Amino acid sequence: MREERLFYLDMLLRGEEVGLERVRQLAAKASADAPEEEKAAWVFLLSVVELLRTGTPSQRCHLQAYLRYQISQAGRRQRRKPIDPQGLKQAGLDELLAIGPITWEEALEPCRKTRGSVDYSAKQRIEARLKEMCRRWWEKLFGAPPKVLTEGGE
Amino acid sequence: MSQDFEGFIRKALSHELSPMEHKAHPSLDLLLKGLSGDLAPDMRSRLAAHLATCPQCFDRWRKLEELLKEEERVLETKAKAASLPELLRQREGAKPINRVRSWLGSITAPFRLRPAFAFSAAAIAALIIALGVTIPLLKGTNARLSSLTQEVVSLKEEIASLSAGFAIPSHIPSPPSREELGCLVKEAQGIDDPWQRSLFLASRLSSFGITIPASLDLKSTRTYTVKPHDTWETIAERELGDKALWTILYLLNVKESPKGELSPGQEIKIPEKR
Repeated sequence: MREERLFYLDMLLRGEEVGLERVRQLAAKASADAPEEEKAAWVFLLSVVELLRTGTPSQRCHLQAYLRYQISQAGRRQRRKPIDPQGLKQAGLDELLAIGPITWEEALEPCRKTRGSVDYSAKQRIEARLKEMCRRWWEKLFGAPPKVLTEGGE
Repeated sequence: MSQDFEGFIRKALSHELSPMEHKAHPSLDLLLKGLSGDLAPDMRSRLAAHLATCPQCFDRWRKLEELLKEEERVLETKAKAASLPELLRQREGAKPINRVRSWLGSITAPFRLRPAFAFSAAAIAALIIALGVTIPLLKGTNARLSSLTQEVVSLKEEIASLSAGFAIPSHIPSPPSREELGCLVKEAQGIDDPWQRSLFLASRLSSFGITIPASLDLKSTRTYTVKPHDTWETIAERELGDKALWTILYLLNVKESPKGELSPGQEIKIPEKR
């Protein structure tokens, strides 16, 4: 199922549409005693799919920047490839992993219409929104959510 | 809070992107199609998902990508055209001979020929074309000249044969007087053979610039009755269309009018027109 989740994640990174119901059905198959990382991956994917479908254009753009940033950080540690800021807009998993870790500013570059100050608070806003959605999906699919999703709740 | 949640996400994604065992791997063809952007979106994402969790395929993918990039760079360098200022500079600084060379070079480039060889080939081709055009022309001119020469020779021979026994006037003769015609007639009457007499008369008339038109048939004649005030000249002008032909009328009627006198009511012979 990991490869299936990554497949949907790549589609989302490239701006392709992903059916929420299809992902939800797959996630529903995951058992309650699955590893925490597995459950976290499902609820994160479902939250991203939902937010990309329901969010404002600005939220969608910031969410994609957030995905780019987190995937690049989670991948290889060394920076291997120079960045094409506009090329990042269509970058999938393979490109992001080849590039290596990028900064929030770089991840946000495709969203910036003018050269101005970087919206660092956008990352926090997206995280807060995602956290709330992840909690909701966890409750729906696996019961009581972990502490990290509930503490300091909104 | 934010850092905890971020840790939660990173942990989940690290788990997702960690290497895993795969039963099958993408073919070289599929990798190349992916690199050239020839895969459908879902296939491209399937490939990306595999590459994210398969370090071997990911390395292979990266090496292929670098090779393709290098190939593109080489092609771009080879195909790079000179900038406009550079072209203008070359054009300004080029000497005429260089321009010819560059022109030849541009012509020969598609055929991969050296300019010197191309120049020689062009010169030979031009010579062949020139010879091909001039030889037939010269041949034609020569043929025409020889035919004209032959024509002149045959004409000379014809003239010589015609002039044998005839006096070809070398100047514009004046018409004979009536006395001269009288002498001529007397001389003609001394010739018994009619053929020789005719030749004699024709020759002498020719010496006076008088030729018998082919339109007149001297063998068939009609009778004309002389009217008051008629002269040989007026009759010739009215009946034959040429005043100069009065000598013909006189010679035809010399028996009836030996002195050449005309009187009204007198009948004379006039040649018919053919």
